[in-house]
Amino acid sequence: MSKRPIAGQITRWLILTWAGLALAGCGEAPDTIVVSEPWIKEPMPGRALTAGFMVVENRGSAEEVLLGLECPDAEAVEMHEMFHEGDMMKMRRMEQWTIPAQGRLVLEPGGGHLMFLGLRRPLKAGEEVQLGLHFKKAGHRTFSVPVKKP
Amino acid sequence: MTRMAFALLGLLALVGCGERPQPPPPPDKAELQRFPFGGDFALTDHRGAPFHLQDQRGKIVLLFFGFTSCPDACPTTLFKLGQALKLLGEGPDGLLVVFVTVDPARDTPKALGEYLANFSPPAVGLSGDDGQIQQVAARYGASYKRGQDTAGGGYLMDHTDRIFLIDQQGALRYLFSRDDPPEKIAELVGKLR
Repeated sequence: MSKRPIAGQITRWLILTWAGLALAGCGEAPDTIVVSEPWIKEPMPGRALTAGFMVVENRGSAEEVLLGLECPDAEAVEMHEMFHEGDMMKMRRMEQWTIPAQGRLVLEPGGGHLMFLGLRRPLKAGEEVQLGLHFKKAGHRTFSVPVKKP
Repeated sequence: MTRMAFALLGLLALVGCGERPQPPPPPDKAELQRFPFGGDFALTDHRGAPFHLQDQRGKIVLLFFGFTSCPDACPTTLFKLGQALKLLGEGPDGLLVVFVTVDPARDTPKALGEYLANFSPPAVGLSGDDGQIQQVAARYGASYKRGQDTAGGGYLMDHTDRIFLIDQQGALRYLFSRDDPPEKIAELVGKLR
């Protein structure tokens, strides 16, 4: 244990933390892409596929494009739009999703979603998976996404 | 203050004058109906045994069409039915949830059995050949169609996402839409009990 006075230790930590934060911020533009409320639905028993949801907010002044996703626990992650014609539920794969400047892409149950195909392990509620998102401008971002029951 | 209140009241009365008296809008009270379609059919259940709807007389049946490779809508429907039945607060006696696959090529009885294994109360998964299922769908005013291909050699299915409420005599009594909450399902099932 150090005999340094406690106030001195705190000051040292504060300076280190501040320096660390300053370094981390170096060279990066303010974040224009904010992902919130991401979650993956626990798959139905025996099924190696499921859906994921999130809100992607584009705080930038130019449109952004979500080009694709990847997850080490799935063979593929597709972007699906879901819509209704009369009482028919239809799904269509999207090649990309455009998020207007200051706009949001809302993926929620009953609407657009991410489809995780070929799950490599049975995901259980309470676990987390890594999900990579490729944006045209913001590049690659990785998020930790919880698995939940519907 | 009182004068102002009277003036306001007068104004409100005037505004109402020219209008035909209208009954207040129904407070979203759903009533059972009686549809001239639906009816008996025969398919194969998830144990591989023949299933005849007419053998379920005396039970309330909640039927819907789906497929087990459906990532969102079908699990949501099952979950909603589970919630509705929980709201009814009684055992599964006298009630049967029936899942008719629109994807018989992939949804074998075994796949359906696994899919429904954790669902409580027990549900029956039905399959058959495409012609048989098309016939059942047509009888209930439902439809389905193979959609786009997905990665890994799979494909999507477009299908009717209503839940069909069938009474103890086999008559179709209500068509729930995707927006109907579990409370409404519980309410109408309760009216049949």
